[in-house]
Amino acid sequence: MSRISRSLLIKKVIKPFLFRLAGKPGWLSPIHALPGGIFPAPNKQVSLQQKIVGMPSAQLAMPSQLILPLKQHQGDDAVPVVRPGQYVYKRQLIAAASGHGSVNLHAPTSGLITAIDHQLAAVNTRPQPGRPWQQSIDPRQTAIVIKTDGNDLTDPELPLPPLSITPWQQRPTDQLRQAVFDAGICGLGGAGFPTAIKLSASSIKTLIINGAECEPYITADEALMREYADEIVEGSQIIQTIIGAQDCVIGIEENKHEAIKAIQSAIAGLEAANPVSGLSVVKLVLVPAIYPSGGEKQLIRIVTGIQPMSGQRPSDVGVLCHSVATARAVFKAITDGEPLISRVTTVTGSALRNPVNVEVLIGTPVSHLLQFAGFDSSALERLLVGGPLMGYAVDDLETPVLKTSNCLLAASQQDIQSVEASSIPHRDCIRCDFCAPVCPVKLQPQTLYFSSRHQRHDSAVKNGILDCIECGACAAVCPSHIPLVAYYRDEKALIHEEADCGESSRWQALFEKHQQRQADNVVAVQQRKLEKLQHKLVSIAEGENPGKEPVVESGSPVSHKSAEQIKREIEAAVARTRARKAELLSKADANKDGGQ
Amino acid sequence: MINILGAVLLTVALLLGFLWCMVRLQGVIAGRNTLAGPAVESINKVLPQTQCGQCGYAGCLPYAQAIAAGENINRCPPGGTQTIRRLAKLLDLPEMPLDVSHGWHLPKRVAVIRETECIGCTKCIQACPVDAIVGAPKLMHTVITADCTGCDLCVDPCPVDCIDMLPLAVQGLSTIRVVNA
Repeated sequence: MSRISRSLLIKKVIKPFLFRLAGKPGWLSPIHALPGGIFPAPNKQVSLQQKIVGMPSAQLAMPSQLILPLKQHQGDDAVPVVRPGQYVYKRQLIAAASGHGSVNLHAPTSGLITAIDHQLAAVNTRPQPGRPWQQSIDPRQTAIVIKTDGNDLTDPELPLPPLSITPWQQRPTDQLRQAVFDAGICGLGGAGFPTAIKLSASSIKTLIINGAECEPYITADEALMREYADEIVEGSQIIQTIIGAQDCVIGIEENKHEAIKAIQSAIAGLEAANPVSGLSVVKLVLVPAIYPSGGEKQLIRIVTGIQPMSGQRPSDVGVLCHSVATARAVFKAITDGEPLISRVTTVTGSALRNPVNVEVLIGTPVSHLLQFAGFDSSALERLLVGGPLMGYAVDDLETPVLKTSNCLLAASQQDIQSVEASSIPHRDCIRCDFCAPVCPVKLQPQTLYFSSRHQRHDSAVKNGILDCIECGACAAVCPSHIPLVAYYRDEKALIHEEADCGESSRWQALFEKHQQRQADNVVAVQQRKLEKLQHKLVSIAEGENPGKEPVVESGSPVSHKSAEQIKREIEAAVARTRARKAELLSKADANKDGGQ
Repeated sequence: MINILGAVLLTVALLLGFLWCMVRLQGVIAGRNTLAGPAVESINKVLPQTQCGQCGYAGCLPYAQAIAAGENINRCPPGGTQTIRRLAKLLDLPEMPLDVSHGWHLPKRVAVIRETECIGCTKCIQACPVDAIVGAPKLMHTVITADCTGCDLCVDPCPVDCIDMLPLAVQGLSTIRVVNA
């Protein structure tokens, strides 16, 4: 009941008040209202007590091995360019981008490649009865395993990238874009879309840097903004230069006071230090602290008022959205030439004594970080990669941290019940319609639920399931505790599976046509042979009868021969042939006898 | 009276029970008889239909038949993990890693003919299982990229080795780059 009354209070009282407050003109830019949304308990302070801990540092040792899956992004797998047994240096390319939307992979530290094989059985794939929250993710995929040597050596022969020598302002944008591609950067906000592809979009008007980070528990971006505000702002300017956007806006939730201050002073400092000619000022926009204001399309709507339509990408409406972590990764790639080998991840949850933000090497096993943060395995209810609303559960503690892992939530029973209660077997939908007003995409969650549950793909697609951002707002307010997002994910996977089968069924049709044609060909060849044979037979038959007469007549000057005469001539010819044959036979016999 | 009624009811009950068993039995027999065809068909539907023959069978349908007869489900490199998972789900078998002795799961590639070198022998056209190569004798051939399954079957028959298997290029980026291991 408290949940219901809270949601009503939020919808009727708090939200309009906040919008009025945040929307007033002044140093705040005008913002636009977001439909739906919820106010879950943030639980963010616990992990912000201390500063970001570096990975090979006095406090936190290097893990003994790193597991680097070849696919940590959307798009095709990277292809390994190293062999097992090979020694690799830090920052060395170990898997090259190949295919559509692929991303390079680099060694996060120096060490020995011990294996390249199917490593991980990390995540359960199918929603199971009683465990419906799990997302479909590749459970076993090829990964490169590096046994670290602890020396953290970079290749002494590796030349410094040219971009770190010449300031980026004086470099052509093509080179900058290529450098981002070479660094293997993909979106660090969670979706993992290759950044270089986004940066090749044209006619972008507004660049939005996403610092909203609205999901509870996660503070990686906030910590980053507090401590590396300069790098984020400069990274934003680099991205703005590459895509040629007129405006650059950093959107931060209004309750992140320290981060806002840091970014403000960074913007002021950067403008004072080296104003970039031709670039507009980086603007700061405060967005209301509503979940999910940090969703890509949601933030675009809040900041610009433009709503990308169903199926449209933000770049189609002239807007591009990058997270603050991506902006910093771009900054590091351009200025230091450092590829994406580490990221800031929040390690939090009630099952940990010491929640903290860690700048972790990609590929570090989760167990290593949990040990560092004071893991209490008895309190663990569920380990989530990502936040409590959008994360996926992980069974195996040796699962590596990926480029897209922004949070590890070692959730206790209490953590999970603060946003959902799916550990209770859920009850039936009572059609209360609490889910519809909180949906930020204006879908009808209960209609989608029925379509998904009965696997009516047509109806699900018609009702916009592919536009669902899986934010989990509907599931959080559901009084029957239905894990709605789990149903949607399962249904989406089925729809995509069907679409995948589309290509193979086309190939199958082509193959069947090919086979049919070949079979037809064989028949046609046989038929042609048969016709030839028939023709021959006919001509032979005609040869005995006066069929050949006209040929003989036209060929020979003697035109008049009676049938009798011809008959006699033929008989004579036959007799001659017989005689010759007999002669030959007797000769052959004589030879045989002589030989013996 | 009651005795007679009881006897009649008992007979009816027994008769119904017998009929019920017959129906069940018939259902089972019919099910087993009709299962063979659709099973192969639905397995074939899950396979990627590249017709590459890397599994050791002559194509996707023969492999589907082999799976129905008990062959391992991890022999299809083009399908990769996803196909194995779907097959496991379909047949209610445990998932297993891809048997890489039949080849690695590589990102989708397409055949590209270096057209200046093509002599027009039509051997690749005959090898292509989906008719994705067009050309005529002694004239240049070319691949219809949209139809190419990336099966590699045209590469070996080419007498002048003018066919490359290239990954699908990313728009606006030079991703095709040779990197020495």
